[in-house]
Amino acid sequence: MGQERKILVVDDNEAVCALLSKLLGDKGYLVTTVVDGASAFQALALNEYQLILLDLILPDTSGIEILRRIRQEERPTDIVMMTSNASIETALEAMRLGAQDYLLKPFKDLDMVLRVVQKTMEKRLLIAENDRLYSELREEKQKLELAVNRLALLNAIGHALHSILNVKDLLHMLVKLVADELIAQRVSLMLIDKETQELTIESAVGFDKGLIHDIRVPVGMGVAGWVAKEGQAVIVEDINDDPRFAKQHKRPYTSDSFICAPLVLCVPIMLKQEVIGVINVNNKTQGGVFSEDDLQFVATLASQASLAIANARAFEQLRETNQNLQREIGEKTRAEDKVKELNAQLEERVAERTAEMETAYQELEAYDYSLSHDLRAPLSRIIGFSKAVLEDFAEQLDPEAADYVGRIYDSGRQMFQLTDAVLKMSQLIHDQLLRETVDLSAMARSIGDELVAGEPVRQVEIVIVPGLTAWGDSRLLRMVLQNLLSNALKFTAKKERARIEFGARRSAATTVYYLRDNGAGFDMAYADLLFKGFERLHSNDEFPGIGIGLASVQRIVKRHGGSVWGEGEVGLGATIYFTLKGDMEHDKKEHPSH
Amino acid sequence: MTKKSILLIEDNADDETLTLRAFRKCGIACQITVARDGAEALEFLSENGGGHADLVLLDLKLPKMNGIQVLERLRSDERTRELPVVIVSTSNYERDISACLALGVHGFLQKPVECHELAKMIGDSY
Repeated sequence: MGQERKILVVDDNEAVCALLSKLLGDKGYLVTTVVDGASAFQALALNEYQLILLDLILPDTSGIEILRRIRQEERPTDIVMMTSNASIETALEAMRLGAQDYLLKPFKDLDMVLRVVQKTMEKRLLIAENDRLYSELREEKQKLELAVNRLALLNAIGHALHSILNVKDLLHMLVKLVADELIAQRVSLMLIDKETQELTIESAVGFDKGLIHDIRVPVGMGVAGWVAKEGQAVIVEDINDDPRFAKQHKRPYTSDSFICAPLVLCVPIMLKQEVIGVINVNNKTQGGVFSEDDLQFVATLASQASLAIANARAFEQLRETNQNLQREIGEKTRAEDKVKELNAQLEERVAERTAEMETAYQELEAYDYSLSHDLRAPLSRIIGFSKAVLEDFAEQLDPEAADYVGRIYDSGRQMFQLTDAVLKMSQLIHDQLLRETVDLSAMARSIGDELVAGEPVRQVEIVIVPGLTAWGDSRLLRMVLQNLLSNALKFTAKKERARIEFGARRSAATTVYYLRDNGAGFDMAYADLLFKGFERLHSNDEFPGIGIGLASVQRIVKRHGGSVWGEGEVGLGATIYFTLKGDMEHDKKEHPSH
Repeated sequence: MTKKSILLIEDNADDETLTLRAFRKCGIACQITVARDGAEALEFLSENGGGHADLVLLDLKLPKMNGIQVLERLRSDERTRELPVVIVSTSNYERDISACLALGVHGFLQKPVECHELAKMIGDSY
């Protein structure tokens, strides 16, 4: 306060000086008096005065001159001119030149003098105060601007950090930001290796390339280690002075060492109350120290970073899981492909088998053909020659001889017919099965009627269950029914009332057709001989005819994918059962209710 | 009535005997030439063979060239294209019959050859 109350009085009248000195001194002002311009400037050189009371007329110069010079020198001082009535215009001019006010000499009203001085001083004080406030405000404004900028930057960084999913890029961006914002020489971000409990550099700026990879700082050692262990941020202005680190740090600061200067700012990176790393900031390139604001900035970044690291790690985890899943899907797809391949192979084999079967069929048919033909040639000669003997040598022949030759002829004819049947059957069997819906009931009825018509003497009852259908080859099925019905008719010849039944038993899996007669029947012990062609269960005398029927029936039924078997009781009758495959599927289509 | 010239293509001696007997029994007036295989028959009918036939009796089962092949050759030569051919065979096999029909035959006779059937066939060809 004392400094702001200095007054300089410049007047050659010593009485005035003394008066003013007393007057103002009593009021607490520090008054200095001089009598001329030169002394005035001397005084001004030594001290700063808030107010100069300046006489207009001085021995070595004029007050105006002094005023001019003061104003030229741009001294921050107020000037009040002292003038007599005679030079009022000059005083006014002085005011125009920069004097604050003027006082009329001789001082009639001392109070007024005081008032003027006080007013001027106050004004000065106010102005000074103003300036001070203004510069304070400007400082604050700058601080605020800086803070706002950093906040905005942090915000943008936050967004960016969260969208960079590659951890490496993320950390690299972070250290660069810190270096730029803090104008630091070195920034390194270190993460803790959980297994070794060492900090290693993840990303850094301001280091020699080779140095980065070699650095391993155990948790607890050095500034970084300390921060990692304690979980607290620090600003260290001089490591050697700091009792926490001085002992450990004996190396000189070089570009080769991790810490290149005594100034360090270190902040922990926390994730869920656990320290996962640190951010080191070493030295300011333009000098100065790290401020609390700097610490706050890096700390905020660190927390942003930890979240983003966690995010990125989670994402990596997810991506790995996804890759695993993809691999599994790939394996599954490969397994499916494998199954498809096997299926295709299977189908191929089935096709091959079918082709083989077709070939076998054809071979069988060719065999039948050649066999029949080979048999027929000599047979035709047997028939031909025996007939020729009977015709050409009828008179010469003994009746017994004629009888014998006749038998030769009959046998020959019989065999000839047999080969015919075999050939015909072979042809039919070989041809492709033409399946259609066959009305078995109607077919059996018509065959039965035809057979009965051929034996008008006999009493024959043929009972046929109506509505029996089958999904098979019509011509071949006709042969089956013809064979079975004619057999039945044949073997009931000795019964007074022959009864023949044709029907079917339906089950969920299949339909079993049956043809029953009440004829001679057969001994079940010989059941397997039933279907072996050329064998006969009865002598020719009992029931004449060719015993090939059932063998053909078996062949046809087998061709349809079914089977045939028989049951018999001697004297009571026989039943022949047969199935045809493909029936049930077809039936299901026709009668879905079944 | 001019004697008909008949060419019998048959390799088996017994079948030949029976067929010739049938001709005798029918009393058909004809001159019969017997060829043992397809080559002989074609040679006979060729320009240099000097042979002539009004009718051919063809066995299907022949050595080297079978009956169908002989028929094909006869039908491809313009001199013998219209020559009436009667198939004599033990076969009544559909396939053989249709193959012959496709090439054009006069008729079928089944062995052993019956007299009346033979007469009918020969008679028809006039």
